[in-house]
Amino acid sequence: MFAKLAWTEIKLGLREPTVMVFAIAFPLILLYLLLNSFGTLPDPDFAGVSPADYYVPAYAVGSVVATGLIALPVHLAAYRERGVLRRLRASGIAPWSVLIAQTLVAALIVTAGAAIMIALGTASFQLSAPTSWTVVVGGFALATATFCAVGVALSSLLPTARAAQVIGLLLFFSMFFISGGGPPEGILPDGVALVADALPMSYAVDVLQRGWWTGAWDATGLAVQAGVLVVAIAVALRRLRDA
Amino acid sequence: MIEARTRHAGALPHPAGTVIEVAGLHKAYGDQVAVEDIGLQVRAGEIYGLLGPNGAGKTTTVECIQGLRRRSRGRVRVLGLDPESDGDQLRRRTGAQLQSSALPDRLRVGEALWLFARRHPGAPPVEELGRRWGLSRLWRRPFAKLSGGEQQRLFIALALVNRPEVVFFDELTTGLDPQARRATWELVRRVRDEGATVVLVTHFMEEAEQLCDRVAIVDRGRIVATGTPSELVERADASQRVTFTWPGADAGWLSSVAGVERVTRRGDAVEVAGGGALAVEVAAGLARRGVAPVDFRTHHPNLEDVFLALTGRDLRA
Repeated sequence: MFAKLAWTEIKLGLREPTVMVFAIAFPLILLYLLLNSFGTLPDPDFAGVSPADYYVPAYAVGSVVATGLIALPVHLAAYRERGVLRRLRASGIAPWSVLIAQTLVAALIVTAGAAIMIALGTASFQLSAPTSWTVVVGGFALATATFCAVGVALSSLLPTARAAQVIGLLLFFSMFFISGGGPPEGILPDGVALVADALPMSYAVDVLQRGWWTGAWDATGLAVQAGVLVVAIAVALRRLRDA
Repeated sequence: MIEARTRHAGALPHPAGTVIEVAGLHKAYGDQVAVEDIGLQVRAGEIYGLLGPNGAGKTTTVECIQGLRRRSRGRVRVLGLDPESDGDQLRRRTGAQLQSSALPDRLRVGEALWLFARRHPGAPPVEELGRRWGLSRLWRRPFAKLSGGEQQRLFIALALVNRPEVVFFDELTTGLDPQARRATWELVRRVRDEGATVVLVTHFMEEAEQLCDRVAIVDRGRIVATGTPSELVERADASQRVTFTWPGADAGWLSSVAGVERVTRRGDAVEVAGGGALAVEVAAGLARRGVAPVDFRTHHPNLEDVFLALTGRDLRA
């Protein structure tokens, strides 16, 4: 039964891909522009690695964050607003199974997005292979789970798709450019770096970059994301139970 | 007739022929009381209507009965099951069309039936269901491209996908044109004729009168009257009226016609109110005087008059 629902959601996602495509295309285009401007040489400003090694992991996380904070809540809030979730629930299809099916679709899409970014970096910008695939894949999976959970929690708090879109965009842009999508951490002004430290996206980027460059797990990054994940799931469960 | 408190929840014998029992149902949102002390019994095989103006608490009531909302207190049993604790089991045996619900825009008719049919191994094949409800032609059409009447047909088919014993329809015909509305009524009768018990929520007096075997009139979160439509009309003691145009001066004889209680004249327009065989007696009197007004009309009291008599307010207000 869950498979049927997930399959339906995948088909629907393919039929109306605009929001999802935005969540992938926007970071992808920016990444392409940045890599074209910065060349391919290792640079002390980029923590001593090449721009591609710096930005590909950061932008892979960026598309995860865009999907989790914008695409997912807009989609789910629209379902809630229009009574789709109620309609499903009346037939015994629990709201959580819809949420998980959607999260699954989101995971497929961000994985495709990351694959495209890696292909682009490797083909044109001398991207190095990750030192540890395990850490990179694990970190990517944790980031996807965390930001999708935040998206589900957001959709349970926001009354309409329009509200979800505005809040989602605000949250996304308020972290994207200082959490790895913009200037590297090393050259951010101190105050801004401090703000970046308070944003969950920075930690997801840390885990992926550290794994890519050194193969080590970034313990702080894992712990912070795990915390956010737990809180988001708690909020979503509580809100959806009362819904 | 309310079943005595039973020892354990779950499937228990209920009075023969009763499929839904509600007693003392309350639902409040904070200080806002939506439903207050509702009690009703729905018998197997009938079309039971909840009639009342918008905001009366009808939808809240049926959603509590379906277990889609938690009741604040009171007792609800559907097919002997408590919709809150046995919701899953219950939903396999009931069907629902909800007020203001929708499907994803791009979901196609056939896919919707396929998706909703997933849980019900004993249910008829979805293609057959589609044929029976005239959806085969629309099989690949996305939900957003369906007309209002087609959407409602799909919702009815989805409500029936598990061959339910009880079906809930909430404002099924709101937003439909009169022709589609009548066609939908025919579908509801078919559902009942095929053996399901139907609970119908509506604010259309005519719909309740046309379709329902019994009606509960709901106002401000309470049931103010229950009965068959004709019982309710009789009980409310609203009078019949006859209207016609008569240019003649002398209408005095009308007051002495059998059954007449009141004669009102406004210019040439005459309105006669009363009971019994009022219309026939008045018509006979007119015929004796050689008068045959072409606009002779009789107005029978209906559920709208009942609502007005019971609450002092207009159902349409």
